Amino acid sequence: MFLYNIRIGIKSLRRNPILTALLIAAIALGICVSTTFIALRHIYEADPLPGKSDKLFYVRLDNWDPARAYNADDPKSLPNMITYRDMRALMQSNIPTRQSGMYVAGMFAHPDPKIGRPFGVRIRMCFNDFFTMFNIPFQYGSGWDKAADAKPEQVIVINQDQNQKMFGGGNSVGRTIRLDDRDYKVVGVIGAEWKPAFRFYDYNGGTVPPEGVFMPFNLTPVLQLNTAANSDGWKNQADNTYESFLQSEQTWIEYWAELPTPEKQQAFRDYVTNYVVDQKKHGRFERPLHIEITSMPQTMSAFQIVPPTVKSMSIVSLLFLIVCSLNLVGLLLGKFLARVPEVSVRRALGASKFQVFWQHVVECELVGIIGGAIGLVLSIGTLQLIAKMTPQNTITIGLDGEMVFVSIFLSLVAGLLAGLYPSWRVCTIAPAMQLKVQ
Amino acid sequence: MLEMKNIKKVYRTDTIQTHALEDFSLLVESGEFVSVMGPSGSGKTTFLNVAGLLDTFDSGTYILDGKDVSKLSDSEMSRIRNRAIGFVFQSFNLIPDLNVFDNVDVPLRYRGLGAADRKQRIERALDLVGLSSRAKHLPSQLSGGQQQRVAVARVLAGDPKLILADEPTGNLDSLMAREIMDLLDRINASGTTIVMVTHSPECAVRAQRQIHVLDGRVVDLETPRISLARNEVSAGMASTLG
Amino acid sequence: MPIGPIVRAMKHNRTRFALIIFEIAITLAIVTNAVNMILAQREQMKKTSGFDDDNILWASAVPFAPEFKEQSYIENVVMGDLRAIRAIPGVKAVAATGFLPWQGGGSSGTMKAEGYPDKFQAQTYGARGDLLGALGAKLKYGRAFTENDTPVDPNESTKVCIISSKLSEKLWGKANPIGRVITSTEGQTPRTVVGVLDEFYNPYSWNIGDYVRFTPGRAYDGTGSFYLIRSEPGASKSVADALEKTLVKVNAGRVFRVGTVPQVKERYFSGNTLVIRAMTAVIVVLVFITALGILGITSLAVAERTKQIGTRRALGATKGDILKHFLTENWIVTSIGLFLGIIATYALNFFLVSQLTDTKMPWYLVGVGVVLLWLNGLVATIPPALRAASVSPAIATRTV
Ligand SMILES: Nc1ncnc2c1ncn2[C@@H]1O[C@H](COP(=O)(O)OP(=O)(O)OP(=O)(O)O)[C@@H](O)[C@H]1O
Ligand SMILES: [Mg+2]
Repeated sequence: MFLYNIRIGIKSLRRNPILTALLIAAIALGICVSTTFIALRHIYEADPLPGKSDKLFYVRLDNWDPARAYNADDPKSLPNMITYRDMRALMQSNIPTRQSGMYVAGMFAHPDPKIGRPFGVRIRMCFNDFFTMFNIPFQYGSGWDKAADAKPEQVIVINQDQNQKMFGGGNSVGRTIRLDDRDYKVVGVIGAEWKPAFRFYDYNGGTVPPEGVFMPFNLTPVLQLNTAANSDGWKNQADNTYESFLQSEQTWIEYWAELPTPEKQQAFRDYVTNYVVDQKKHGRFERPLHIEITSMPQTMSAFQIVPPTVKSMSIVSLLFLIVCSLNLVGLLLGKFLARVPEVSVRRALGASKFQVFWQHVVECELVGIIGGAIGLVLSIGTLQLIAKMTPQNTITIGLDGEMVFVSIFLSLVAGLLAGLYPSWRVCTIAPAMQLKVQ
Repeated sequence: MLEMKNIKKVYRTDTIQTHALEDFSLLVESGEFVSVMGPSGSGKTTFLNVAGLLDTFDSGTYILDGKDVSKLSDSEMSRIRNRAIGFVFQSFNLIPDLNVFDNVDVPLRYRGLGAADRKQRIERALDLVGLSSRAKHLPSQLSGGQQQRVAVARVLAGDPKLILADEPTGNLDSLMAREIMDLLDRINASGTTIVMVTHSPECAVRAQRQIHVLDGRVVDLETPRISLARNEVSAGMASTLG
Repeated sequence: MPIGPIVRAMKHNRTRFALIIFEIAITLAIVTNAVNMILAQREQMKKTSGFDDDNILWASAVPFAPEFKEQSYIENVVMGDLRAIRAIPGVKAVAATGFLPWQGGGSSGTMKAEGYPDKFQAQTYGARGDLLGALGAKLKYGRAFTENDTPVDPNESTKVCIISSKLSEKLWGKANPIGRVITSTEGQTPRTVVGVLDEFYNPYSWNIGDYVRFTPGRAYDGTGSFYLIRSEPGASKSVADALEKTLVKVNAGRVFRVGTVPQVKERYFSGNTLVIRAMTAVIVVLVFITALGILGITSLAVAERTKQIGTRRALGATKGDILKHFLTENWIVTSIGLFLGIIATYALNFFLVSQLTDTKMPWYLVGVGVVLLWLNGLVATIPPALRAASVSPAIATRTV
C-alpha cells in the first residue's frame, strides 16, 4: 500500500511539472537557506567535547587595577587570562584530575634544507594533561609524560600539516627538528581526524584553528619565551628582567582544569578562593573578590564565541523556511482541491478517509524529500561559497553529520507540516459535494 | 429581436475541425418564446453562445436588436450581454463564494447602478422567484431548483430584452422544472423575448414555437403556433403528473 | 471597484488568503530586518582610518639568523631596510613601526596626562622613519618626528609623542595641546606632545579605536621588524613585487611577508561583507519566493474559478472588470499582510535587539519595505489576473 501511494504520488507530481517544480523549489530554497545559516551557527555552538565539556573549567581572576575595572566601561569585567604566578599557584592543587596552563608562542622551524626554507610556527605551550584533557587523537606516538614536563625535556607534538612541512609526512616520532636555536624531538603526531572548526580550548583572539606544534610549558622560563598572543597588564613591573615579567600582574596565561564531580568542583572553588584571599593579605587582588570558574560551554558564551550576526542570521533563516512552508501549503492546497473530482471517485470506490489523507501526505513527503535533498546539496555549495569569503585562519566551515541530520529532519517536518492541512482538507470533502455544486 | 443569416461556426482543435454551425439562419421576433431542440452535439449550445455574444462566429450576419454585432469589440459585447441579455444555464452558474443577494447583484454591479437602485431590483427579483427569505444563503445551502430560481432572479433583476436559457431544467426534477417554466412563462408574458434550448418535450411545448437543429442547421422553420395551445398542454401535463 | 462583495467572497477562501497574508507579513519582517542588518554593517564599514589606505603596503621581516641577538646588528639592518625600500621606484615614504591600519587590534597601554584626573587607555605604537608620509596622514597641530627625536642610546626613552585629535579632545578639550605632557601610569617617562593627527581610527577590542599615541624610536628588536610603505597611486603592485627581493638583498637571514592595507581592511571587514552578501541573497531569494508563491497560489485560484470567471463574463463583466477583480483581491490581501508585517517587523527587531544582535529599526525602512512588497505582490498577480481576463465567456455554457 505504501509503495502504491508513492507510485500515485510520483504520477501526480509528474502530471503538473511546473507546479511540482515550484513546490520542490520552495522547499529546496528554504532548506538551503536554513541549513546554511544553522550550520554556520552550529560551527560555533557545537559542543567540541560532547560529554566532557561540562567537566572542563576555565579560571579567571580579577587581579586588575584597584582604580578601574579591566574594561573601564563595565565594572563587572575581569581579565580574560591570568598571570604566570597565579597559574603556578593553581597548578599546585591536586584537586583537578587533569590541568594545564597554556599560551601561544611563536618560533622558527628550520627543516632539512632539502624539504624547505625556515618558516614560522605557532606553538601551544602546555602541560602533558592537555592531550588527554582535550581528547586529542594520535596517529603516531602520544603526548609527552610527566617526566618531560618536570625536567623539562625538549620534546614536541605536531599535527599532520606540520609533519608534512617539517618532515614530508610519515611516522616522525623520534625525529628531531630545530626550532629557533634548539633541537626538539617529536614524541607524537596528531591524527588527521582532529579537525576542530576552531581552537576550542582558547577564546582569546577570536576563533582561529589550533596550533600545529605543542611544547612543554616548563620550557618557558628556560627559553625566556614571550606570548605571541594577547598580554594585558596595568602595573609596571619592577624591572626589565624576565624574572620580574613572570612575577608581574601581566595576564597572558590560560588555565583549564578537569573537575569530573560536583564535589571536586566545589573543592576547587574553595581552593581558588582561599588562594586569592590569602594573596589579598600580601597586597595583591586589591579589587573586590571576583573569581570566575566556568565550564567550557559557559566560558564559550561568556566570550561570546557565536558572532551576534550569525545568531540573527540563523533566526532569520528559520523564518525564511516558514515562508517557504506557507508557500508550500498554498500551492498544495490549490493542487489538492483541484483534484476533488478524482478524490470523490476514489472515495466512491471505497477509499477510506484515512487512505485518502495518507496518500496525500505521502505525496507531500515526496516533495519534502526531493526538495530537501536538493536543498542539502545547495547548502553544501553555499557553505563552500561562504568558506571562500571568510579569511583563512578563522574557522573551518562545513556540514557535519549532525547538520545533515538536522537538514533532512527539517525538510521532512516542513513537508509534513505543509502537507497536513491540505491533505486533511481534501480527505474531508464529501463525495456528494462535487455533484451538487459545479 | 434576433436575426441570424448563414451563420457558420467552426471549432478547430489540433486534429479536427468541427462544423458546429453550418448555414444557420433564424429569426426571432420581439416578445417571442422559442424553444430549440435537437440531438446532442447538433450545435444548440453553440447557437446560444453566438446568440448571447459569448462566442464569435466565422461568417454570416447576426443582427441583434437591430444592431450588426459582428464588428463589436470585446467590451462592447460585454456591455450588451450585461444590459440586453439574460442567461439561465443548465448548471445554474451561481458564484459559490457569494450569497444569494450578492449573486443577483453581480450583473448590476457591472452595470454600475447605484446602491439603492440595485437593492430595490434585487429585492423585487428575489420576491418574484419567492426566495426573499434566503437572501443570505450561500448557493451550497440551496436545492437545485432554488439555485436555478436564484439564477432566474439574477436575470430578472437585470431586466433584459432577451433571455437565453440552455437546458434550464436539465439538472432538475420535473416538479422543480415546472416551477422554473412557470417563471419563464411569466417573464415572457411581460414582454421579454426568450430563447430556450431544451431536451425535454414537455418544456419545449410550453414555448410558442419550436425549432429543431440538426448538424448545425435549423431543419424546420415552422410558422408560429397560436399561443392557445400552451394552456392545454400544461393542463395535460398537470394531469399526467397527477 | 466593489470592495464589499469581493471581501465577502474572500471569506470563503480564508485559508488561501491567510497563507498569502502570513507569507507577506513574515517576508516584510525578514526583509526589513535584513536590510537593517545590512545598513548596520555598512555603517561600521563607512569609518575611515584617516590614512591613504589604498596606497599603503606592509612588509614584515622576522630573523632566524643568530646575529640578530646583537642590538647594533639589528639597527644596521633596519636602517638598511629603510634606505633600500625608500629607493624602490614608486615608493613615497617608509617607516618602521608596530602599527598596521585596519588590523583590528594592536598594542595599547595605560597612561596619565597632565591636567587629566584619571588614568586612561590608548593605543600606543613606536615608529622610525617617515611615519606621517608612510600613512599619508595630516597633522592638525605641530610637527612630524625628526631623526633627532630617537635617542642614540637604545635604553633611553623618547621625550616626545604625537597623538590623535580625538585623544587630545578627550584629555584637554578643544585647546591646542602642543607642549602638554603624557606620562606612564607611575608619572615617569614624560613625553611632550609635538604633533596632533587630524584623523585616526584603528578598530580595537576596547573602545579606544580613536585614541592613539605614537612615539619615535625603535619599534623593532630581535623578534623582527615591520614596515609601512606608501606608494605612488597605481604603483602598489610593482612596489609589492619588488619589496621581498629588496629586503633579501639587505639581509637574507630573515623570513619576509608582504601585503597591502586594502587586503588587511578587506580581511577586517570580511565578517561584515559576509553578512551583507548573505542577507542580500536572502532578501532577493525571499522576495522572489514570495512572488512565486503569490503567483502560484493565485494561478491555482484562477484555474479553480474558471467557470465562475466565465459566468461573470457572460453576465457582462469586461476583461478589465475581471483584471480589476483579481488585482483588488490581491491588493486587499497584500495590504492586510503588510499591516501585520509592520507589527511582525517591530516584534522581530525587538527580539533581535534584545539578543544584542541588531540595531533599532528606522521607520523609513519599514516604509520602503512596504512599498517594495506591495509592488512585488502586484507584479506577481498580473500574470494570473491576465489569464483570468482571457477566460472565454463561452465557458459558462459548458457543462462540466
Ligand atoms: N469549445 C469547443 N471546441 C471544440 N469543439 C466544440 C466546442 N464546443 C462544442 N464543440 C463541438 O461542436 C458541436 C456542437 O456542440 P454543442 O455544444 O453546440 O452541442 P449541443 O447541441 O449543445 O449538444 P448537447 O445537447 O449535448 O448539449 C459538437 O460536436 C461539439 O463537440
Ligand atoms: Mg448543449
